[in-house]
Amino acid sequence: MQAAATASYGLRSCLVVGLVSTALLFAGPLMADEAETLLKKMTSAAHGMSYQGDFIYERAGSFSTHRVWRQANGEVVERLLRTDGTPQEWLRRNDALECTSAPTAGAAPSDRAMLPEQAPTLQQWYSLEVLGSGRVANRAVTVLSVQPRDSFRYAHELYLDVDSGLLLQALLVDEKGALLERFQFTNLQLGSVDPKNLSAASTCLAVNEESVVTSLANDRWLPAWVPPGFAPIRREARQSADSDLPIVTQIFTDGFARFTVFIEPLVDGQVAADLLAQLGPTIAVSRRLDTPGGAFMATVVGEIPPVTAGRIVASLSPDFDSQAFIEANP
Amino acid sequence: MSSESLKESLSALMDNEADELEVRRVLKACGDDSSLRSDWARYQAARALMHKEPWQGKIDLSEGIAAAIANDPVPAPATAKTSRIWQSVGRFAVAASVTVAVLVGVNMFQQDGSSGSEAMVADQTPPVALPSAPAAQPGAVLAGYSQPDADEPPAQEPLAAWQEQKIDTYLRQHAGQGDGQITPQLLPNARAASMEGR
Repeated sequence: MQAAATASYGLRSCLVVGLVSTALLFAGPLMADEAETLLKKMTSAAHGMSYQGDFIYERAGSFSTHRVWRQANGEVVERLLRTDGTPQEWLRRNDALECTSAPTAGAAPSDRAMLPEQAPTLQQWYSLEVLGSGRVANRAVTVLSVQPRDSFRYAHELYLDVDSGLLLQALLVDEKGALLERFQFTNLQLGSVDPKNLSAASTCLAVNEESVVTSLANDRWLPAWVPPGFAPIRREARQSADSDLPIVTQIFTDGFARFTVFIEPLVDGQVAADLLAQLGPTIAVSRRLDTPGGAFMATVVGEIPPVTAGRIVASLSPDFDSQAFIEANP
Repeated sequence: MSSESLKESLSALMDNEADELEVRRVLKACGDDSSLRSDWARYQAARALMHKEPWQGKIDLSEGIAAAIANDPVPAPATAKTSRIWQSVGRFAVAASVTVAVLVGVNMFQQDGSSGSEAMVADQTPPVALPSAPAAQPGAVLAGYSQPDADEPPAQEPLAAWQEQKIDTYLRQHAGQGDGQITPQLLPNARAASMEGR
């Protein structure tokens, strides 16, 4: 029944978007340059500032509350705690995950965001527009609309703190205008954080460095098609528990949207169904690839429209070179 | 449908053991049957007491859920549960299915969409699903992308447990890697956190 309760939030949130939008004081479209300046400010604020605050995260089927403490002076320490349900905790030091109470989530090392280098090309794929001003977490915000120029990606609405540039609210919206997810601060305090709040509870388990993975040089297994503007940023091979061949992952991003391609060899007796799954804003499309070199399961997971994900997976079909995969992953 | 068996279905629903047909049946019946509806409310209150959950009895969510599934295709009847393993998988899926909608045999890759346009909702995943869930019209989505064995009908069997688990792992792994995005790390972190404890 609890699950049913959260499902209804998803329905209601569509209405909320409309209300929020009309509540904005429209200042008229401003120059896209200003939007780009705001994005740069947001990125540097996200990296360089100390703060603590509470935020909610909502998607279809889930509503959760969280607290974050972030201290940035030379070394950056960020502690994230889920404040409802079972306590879940993450502690990052200089962008590397130090401990987590959820071992499968975020076990990978984390690179810094790509901006600002990628900023100039963003506007090739998205149109940026300052919609006006509003209020989030009792703070004045500037609202930035990020509309895709094609149907391969979703739209965003970003609510940026006027003072600091921090992202205080983010909405992800699909092509029909339905809200896919909401991230929103409910309170925020800028400035130094009490050090005792930066150490995790004992339930936060140290991340096992051995799970870190080798990188691959060979790219012949990449999808033949990805939407324009998406670039590969990190490729990894993890040892599969079931097979001698590794599970290969490749992340692609256009700066706003991100998807991961997983290619996993199937072992005898594993029958993989072609499937499409959706978890809030995240889509997963799997398909079985039968090649002379064996059977593989290819899966695309990302915050992209289902059709985009399906097309990427489909492009793996004829061109997937299992021999190259095997040679590249001895 | 007798009221006794409806009550049994309701009871199963309360224990997260209802299959998707039972969920539908109960939701539908609750629309017309005020006594069943009050039974539901009583069961809710009783369960809340047992689990020491705070319970606000006045909120009735069945209407919203019923509306959410009203447009979903009616699933095929659940196949007989043949083993205990599948029973427990089924139970897990009932709990999880509100957050993950899975379509198997979507057959997105066929050439002309002539066969298999009747995608199966996996039998262990009831359609009490996201309103925004698979907007994709199965079969029609990717017309034009050829595949050698495109004439094969879509898979009819339920999603294998290992594959369901695999997709779950992929989702978490993807959510945990927030790099490469202009939006701060906090957002993918929150996505990852929302997947825990479900």
